Amino acid sequence: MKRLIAVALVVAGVLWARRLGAVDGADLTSTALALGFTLVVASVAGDLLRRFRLPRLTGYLLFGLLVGPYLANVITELMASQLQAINGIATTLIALIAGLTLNLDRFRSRLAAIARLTGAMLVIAMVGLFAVTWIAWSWLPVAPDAAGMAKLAMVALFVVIVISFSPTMAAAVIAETGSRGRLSDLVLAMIVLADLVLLVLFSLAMQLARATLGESTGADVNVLVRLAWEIGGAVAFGSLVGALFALYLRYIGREVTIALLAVCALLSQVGATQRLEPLLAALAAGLVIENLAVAEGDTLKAAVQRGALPVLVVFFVSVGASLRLDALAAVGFVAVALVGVRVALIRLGVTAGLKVSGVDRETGEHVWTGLVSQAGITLGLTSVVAAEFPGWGGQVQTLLVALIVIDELVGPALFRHGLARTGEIDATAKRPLIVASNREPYLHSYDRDGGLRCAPTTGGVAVALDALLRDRGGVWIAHGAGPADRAVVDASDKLRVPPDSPSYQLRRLWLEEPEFSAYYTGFANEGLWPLCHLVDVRPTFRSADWAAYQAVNARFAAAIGEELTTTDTQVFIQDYHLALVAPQLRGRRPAARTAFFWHIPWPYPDRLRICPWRREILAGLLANDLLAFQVERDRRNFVLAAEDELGAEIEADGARIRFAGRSITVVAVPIGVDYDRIQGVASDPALATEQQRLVEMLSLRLDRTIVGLGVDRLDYTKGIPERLAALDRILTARPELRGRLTFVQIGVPSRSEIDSYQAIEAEIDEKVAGINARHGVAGLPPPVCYHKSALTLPSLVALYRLAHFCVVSSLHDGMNLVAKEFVAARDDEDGVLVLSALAGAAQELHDALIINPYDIDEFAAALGRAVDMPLDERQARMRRMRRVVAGRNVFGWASDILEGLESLWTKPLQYAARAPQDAPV
Amino acid sequence: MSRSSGGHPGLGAEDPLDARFGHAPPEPEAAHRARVFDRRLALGLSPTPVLGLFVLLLGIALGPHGLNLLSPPVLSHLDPAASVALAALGVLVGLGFDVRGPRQGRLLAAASLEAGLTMLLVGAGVLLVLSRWPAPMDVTPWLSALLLGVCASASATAATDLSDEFRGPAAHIGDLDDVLPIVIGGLALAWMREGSPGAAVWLTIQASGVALVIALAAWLLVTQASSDSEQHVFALGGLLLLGGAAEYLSLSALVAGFVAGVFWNLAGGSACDRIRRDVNHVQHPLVFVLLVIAGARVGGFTPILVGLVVVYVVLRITGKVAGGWLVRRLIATDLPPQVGLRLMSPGIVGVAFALNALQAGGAGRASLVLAVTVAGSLGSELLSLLVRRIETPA
Repeated sequence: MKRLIAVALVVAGVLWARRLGAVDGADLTSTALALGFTLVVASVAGDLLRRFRLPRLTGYLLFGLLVGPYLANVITELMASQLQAINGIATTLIALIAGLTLNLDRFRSRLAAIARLTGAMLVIAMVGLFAVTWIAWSWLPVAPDAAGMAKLAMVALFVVIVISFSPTMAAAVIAETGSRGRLSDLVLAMIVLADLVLLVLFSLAMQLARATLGESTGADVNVLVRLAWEIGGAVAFGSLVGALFALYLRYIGREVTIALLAVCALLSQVGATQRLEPLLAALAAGLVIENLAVAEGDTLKAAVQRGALPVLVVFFVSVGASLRLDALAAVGFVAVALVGVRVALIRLGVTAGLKVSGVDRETGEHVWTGLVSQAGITLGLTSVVAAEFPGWGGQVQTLLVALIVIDELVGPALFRHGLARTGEIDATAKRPLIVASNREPYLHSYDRDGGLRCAPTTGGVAVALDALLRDRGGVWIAHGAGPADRAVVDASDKLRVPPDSPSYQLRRLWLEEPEFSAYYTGFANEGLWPLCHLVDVRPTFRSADWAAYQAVNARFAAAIGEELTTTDTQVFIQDYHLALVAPQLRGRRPAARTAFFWHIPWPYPDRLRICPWRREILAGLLANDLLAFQVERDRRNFVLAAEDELGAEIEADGARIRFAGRSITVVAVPIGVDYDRIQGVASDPALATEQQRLVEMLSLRLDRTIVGLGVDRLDYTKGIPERLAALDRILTARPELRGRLTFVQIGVPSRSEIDSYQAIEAEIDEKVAGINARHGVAGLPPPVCYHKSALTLPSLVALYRLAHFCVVSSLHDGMNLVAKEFVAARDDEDGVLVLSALAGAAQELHDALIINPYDIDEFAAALGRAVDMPLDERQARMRRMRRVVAGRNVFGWASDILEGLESLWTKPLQYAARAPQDAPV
Repeated sequence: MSRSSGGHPGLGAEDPLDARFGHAPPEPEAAHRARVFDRRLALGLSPTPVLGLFVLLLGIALGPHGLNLLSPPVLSHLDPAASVALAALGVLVGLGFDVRGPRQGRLLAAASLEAGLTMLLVGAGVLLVLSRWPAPMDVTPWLSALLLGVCASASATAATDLSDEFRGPAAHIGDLDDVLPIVIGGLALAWMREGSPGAAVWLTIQASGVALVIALAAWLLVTQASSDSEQHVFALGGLLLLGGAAEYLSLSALVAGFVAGVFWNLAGGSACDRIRRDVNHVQHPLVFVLLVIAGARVGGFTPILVGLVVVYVVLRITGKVAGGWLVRRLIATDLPPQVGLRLMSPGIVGVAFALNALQAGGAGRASLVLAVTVAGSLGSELLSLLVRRIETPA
């Protein structure tokens, strides 16, 4: 509805302007006004038709027809002629895009087979159509009286144009369906090759037509010389322009938009004035750019295609506006018959071609579905004929536009059907996934009776990736750490999981001592962990640890390489333990598609310099295709480090880095929690029982006790001593809270073999004892209830629901999921979150009480505010935070990254119809 | 000037496509600067502006009085692009126009005072010259003086200001002093068309209404767009309609764009951000074309023109320096002492308005204005560069 209001406003604005009038009432108009009107209204019309499952391009054509001089006359003849002025550039741009699509490297191994298939298809289709047309010529509404050489020339031109294909439409369908695979590649390659041949043939036919029909040059002009000039000259000229433009892009790279438009204008104008076939020249230019300067060609292709829509809209509308409706109605039946003949002959040609080409039959038999659509190239060719031979050429244009309209109606639907049949469309094809992480999703152990027990790993990330793999299938590669892990795997160290409904494979790697300790405890947790967290713990780097880290990463890479069966299988690598997997993998599988998520903060460049092997780690991470960090600050720090340490080139949007001849996308994708699962636990009737158990265990008196909560791994980054100091401060300042306020601290010991972790555990023990001694009241629960054990998710949710406030006071944290879990668990919309500004979660949860854990007074004041906060404020804040947490759950996080990875291969074709991802991928 | 979140684009703000292709290996200092640009772009900051007024020289060289590659028929084909470029400039000025806070209001007052003083000085000087040595043209001397005053009053911020985060009040004044010339220039063009001040005001109000209707339509469409491509189409369509309507009415496309930009800025929301992004995306090539056309449209120079250029440059700089001093004394005491010197760089709004006047009024009426403005802008820019070099320690 809003769109229609907007269109009405546009019409009102244009009419108002026309009422105000041009200077002196002269019959002037404005090209820009006509273009703007066309662009806006036609786009809305195209979208309207799309809702009826018709292609947008048809909408543009029909819009042009509707508002053109022959019907509504909103676009007058003068305006229509002004719109035609950009047609030359538009058709050249379309041909250039087609040329940019054909990367010879990509098709090298199959090029001969594809060429044979294309050749056979063309020969059969053209010969057949020529025969049919020759016989039926007198019934075609073109020039029924033509005979001899004139008829031959006309038929030749007609056949070439009727057979021509549309790379634009094929690319649009592929983009719209998110398809990729052999059929998509094959159709695109065939169309470009065939159009290349057809453009040459078109030039030949035009020469013949000029010599026999149009111009008085016949006897004294050497037709062969002109032909050679038109075709050879066009290819040579186009190649030269393409080569110069490629050099320009590589070595100058300035004013690219202007240069691109100038190149299109040059190809169009010089082609027209020097009798060089402009479309052929543009196609050759595109081919040369794409294959001479591959990186620049890819970038140009993506940029041009993204910006091509306005040009295409105006082009199709102007063609629609120039159609003679009366003639179109007269040729409708002929057009339908022509479509039938064309499709039948193309299908026959493909079938025959499959026998001689060597292209696999399973894919090849659906190729014809992608060859039905016609659009820009065909329209461009008809425009050329109509312009050169206004009489019968105009008739050809009318007939062929009817043909195109029909082909556009059926072509995309047919191609979509073909893609679905070969399983290349997203909806019908599940692509397997490979996940690599240090930690495994299922641990096997022995129970007391010696029986096997399988326990899933807790944690949102493991749950999300497990769910993804259940859906898509694939392999999860991880360190086998369970005591009974070896007992359940097969000869290739794999087993099917989950135990209740096996749907993917878990491959376990056996990391032995002392290598495992050097890799995990040493390099990862004594080196990288303190390096990346800005706390007062010195990172320790040892050569032996580094060697173990490299070796373990190489083992992961080897395992992934063995599991990669297809190049389009996605590999999702997790966290700082596996920073060097990608380069090792790329050595084995150069075409592997890898995404990496760095879960912890990334240090600023000066701190990174502490690490002796920072360059290797940076280069290792840059061997991935997509790198994701928790928050923008980490992403920015990484980009700066890549530039400073490796001299990597940062692309304009800052989201892509060029390094070692590759382009790597670097994004920030904050992780979320499994919101629905937590909701499920929170609404489980068993929760009340669990809460009662916890109340008794912690000796809480809910009628008069204010419960605070902290849930952490016992880690020096979590700011637990600072939290206890703030608690001490508020209990000192407000003695009335003694006996009323109980702070429950859940601490899960971890990495206790490392000195710094032992020290923090001891410090926390001491502080808890001190607070309880100073502020404890006899007969009442202690101020701090400290439990050093892990809780299951139901217990955790029960505890979250008991708490009046939850404290997350990290000194530095990538995200901190406790903050989000607390919010997710509070479907009663109560509770206060006290959150460190130094945790990544603070960048999303603005309605928490944000504190600086180093400022104990401020921290204590925030605790006081949490205690005193009125119910309506608590509820308002919690409601807003819940919206944030619900809107970005862990599944969204995973799919954002994996879809982002996939889009690196599909985006160059996305100019047509693919919906945008507004999420910060 | 560079813009990332507000203000209008500086001359030569980078073509987004350029950045995708990296840069040529330049000499060491340029390499350093290029590296700075890249890093800033990667961090989401604006690139440093470049002195794109040299594009004007390119236009002069390619135009009918130079190599004639841009012959009059070719230029007439390019004219619609100039209208759209003018609208885009107006939009970006409008999007950066925010006087909701007291400080912003104070800065607008300061900028308008400084621009008004420059306009007055240059206008008076030109009027004096033309009253003694009349130039052949179809427009009254005082209207020529007004148009040249308008062209002279806009300014760019200093090229040393890398981005918004480093920009001080002087830079903001450089942005905001385009507003008064755009408004007065719009009225002047309407006056040129209608012949009477009352009719000119009424026509400008109605034309602003047209621009508002188009802006509202574009805003609705962008909020409803289902894809990036569609947003881009609607934003571009809006620009074309704004520029086209102004071209059709022979009025100021800068005003049309400014009105739309202010509306979008007030409407806010994600649609405003998307329009800003799309307009920023296309502004560079459009501005490039605009400057080339402006350069190519400059005719031959006569002694009277040379005299006017000298008066234009001298009085413009006098106006800027005096205006800077005045606003520092009267309105914004926190401005740096050399604020006037920082406003010497002319930017592109003056040249754009002169081209707008030529398109709206015809060659007979405004060719003198364009020639003097182009030459005067080049002269002012050279002097500005000289001053900056003296200011910058070795």
